[in-house]
Amino acid sequence: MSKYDNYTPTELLRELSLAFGPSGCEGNVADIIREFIAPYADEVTSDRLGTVIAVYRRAEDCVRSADPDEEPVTKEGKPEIEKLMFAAHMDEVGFMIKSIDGDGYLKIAALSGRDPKTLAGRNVTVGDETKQYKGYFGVKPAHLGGSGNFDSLYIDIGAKNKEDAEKMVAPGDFGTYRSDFVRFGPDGAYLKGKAIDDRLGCTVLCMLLKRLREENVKLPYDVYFCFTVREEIGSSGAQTAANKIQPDMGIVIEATAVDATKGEKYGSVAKQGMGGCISFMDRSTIYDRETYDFVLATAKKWGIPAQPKCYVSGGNDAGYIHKAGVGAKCAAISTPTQYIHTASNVVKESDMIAVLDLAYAVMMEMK
Amino acid sequence: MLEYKTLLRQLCGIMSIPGCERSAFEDVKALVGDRFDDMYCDPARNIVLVKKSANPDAPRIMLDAHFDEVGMIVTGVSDEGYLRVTSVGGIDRQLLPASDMWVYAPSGKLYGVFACLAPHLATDNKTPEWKDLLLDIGCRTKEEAEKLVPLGTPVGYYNEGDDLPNNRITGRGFDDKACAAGLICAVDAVPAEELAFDVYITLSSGEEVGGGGAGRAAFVIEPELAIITDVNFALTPGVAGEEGGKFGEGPMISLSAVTDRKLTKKIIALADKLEMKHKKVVEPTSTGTNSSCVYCVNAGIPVAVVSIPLANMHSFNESLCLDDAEAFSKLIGEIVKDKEIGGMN
Repeated sequence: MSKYDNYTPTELLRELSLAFGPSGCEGNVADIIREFIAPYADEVTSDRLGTVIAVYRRAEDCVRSADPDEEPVTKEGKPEIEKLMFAAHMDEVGFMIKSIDGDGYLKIAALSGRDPKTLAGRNVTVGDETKQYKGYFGVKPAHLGGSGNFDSLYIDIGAKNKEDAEKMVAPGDFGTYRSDFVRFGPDGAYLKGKAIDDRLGCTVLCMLLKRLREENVKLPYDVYFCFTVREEIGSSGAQTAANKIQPDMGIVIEATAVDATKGEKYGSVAKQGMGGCISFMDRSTIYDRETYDFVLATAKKWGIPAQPKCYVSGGNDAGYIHKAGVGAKCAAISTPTQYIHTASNVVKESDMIAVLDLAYAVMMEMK
Repeated sequence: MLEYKTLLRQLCGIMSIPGCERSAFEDVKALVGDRFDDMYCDPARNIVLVKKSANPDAPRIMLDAHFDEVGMIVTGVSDEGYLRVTSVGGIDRQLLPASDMWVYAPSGKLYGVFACLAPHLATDNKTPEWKDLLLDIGCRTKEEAEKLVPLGTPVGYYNEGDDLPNNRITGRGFDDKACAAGLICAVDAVPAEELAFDVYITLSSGEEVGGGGAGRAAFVIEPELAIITDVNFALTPGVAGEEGGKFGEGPMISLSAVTDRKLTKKIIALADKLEMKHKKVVEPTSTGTNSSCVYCVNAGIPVAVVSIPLANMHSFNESLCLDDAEAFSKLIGEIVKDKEIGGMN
């Protein structure tokens, strides 16, 4: 029994959202995930970079009738696979402590993202996997010209001077936003927090594994649930995990940026409330067309909301997974997320549930 | 005995965006009303707390801290259900994208967040205009949002605040509730027998919008002298050494052409006599405080300005050092007991 047994997806998302885990410092997130998945996985390992890999083994008595010489996708349009890899990244956007000045203020280097607008004034956490401290980004008062550029940003952790600050942090320590997890909007339909990119994906993977175990689902293939490290700084976690697993298929559960403020005028990348976004192309991957069609068809068949991601931008763990070993077919299912890479990511709860349901349906359709 | 930090957090929990100060009166009264001889909210929305000296001939001193805080007000709703706002008081718009807000709607306070294009998709780094800052309250149609939030609804910062090491604390609304809490604690701790003055604490209105309710309060109270208390710039990166106060080095006392030098010198002498840390700050023609609207009321009122250093002023994350605030409060407590200061003219 774990304390997470009766958690709803949103309760788990909250717990994961609040955890400290900038790229390269994902241990605290990994601890929560390991505790959650322990009762449900056949095997839990980590690779050398820290990616957590949970395996749900195929059922011995569940044998596929496929002819080994057949095309990997059958005539019914069902992909035939031995190993399915799910990936969601544990890391969040953050920064690293570069130096400490004489007054005890911390200067930072970006790990990803350098927009001073989304950093200045914010509450932050700094430290490492064992110790964390509260602080905030200092800004010049509005009366004296207001906040400046990225290089003028500094963090105040309440230290009296350099020596005092050095008792708490050191150059090379990590930092990220600190932000409450809030349910809001009419009917409480929206959720706001930091790191929903991609703790939401982690939540979906945890809940999928739990569902497979509780329903005792018999699958003809092994499922690898990979909670990857360092996606935000180049997906090296997915690279090594995929090298190790060499999957036939990879499905990335992600968060993708949408903007609802301009309504239809924006050209609609995707809309919140319309389910997960299925990518056909981004800056890292041209997705396998048959898999893309299969995922959309599954959504339609099961009556689960889903939508194409109509914008070619960004990239995710699929960029490495599709190139691992002999190559893997890939799909990406992303939750439309507003204000991504800030302290206040906003998602619609129903979209998270739709992504969870769709990932489950895809597995069932591949039986 | 009132505890400073507790009272400060309680006061910061009371919404007092300019124009809404009257709604704060009952909340303040519930907190500290029974500790004063009289308490009222005047027509200019100033909240006044009165504590009389046991000496019937004691002069009147006005201790002012403004109670309003910077905020915003709803000016419209976009077709997509986002709120448009504008500032009430000086706000750095550059800090707002993706920051958390409270919308004080008639049905209760609603969470909101300013929309923000993902930083890696942003095409420029310009400071957004008010018309471009859209507040997301989870409504996606104009009708839905208009039903919940009427025009003119106040909007304020969302930030519970933290305790940091070395008695440093963060939060919203410290400008100028840090001084309000200090005045209340100071006067509360002095028995009527020891008061050299009849004390009028004015938690004044409209300072952040230049309205200066304090002037109207002074007109009614007709004090013999007034001490204006406000926050001042803490010495942080970007603030020049001579214009800021270092955390932990006590309250700041203004030397200005628009304050009364005789009164100011008496306060400095008192602080020196009691060996209380303080920093003198030169503010030639303006202290940026309510002193400007108080000193020329009626036949003129001698004023001095005493302040608490504050970092990140006017942002959703202001920060101060409790040592400074408590030293400030202690100095005020000594001033109201001091017969020298009262015996001026």
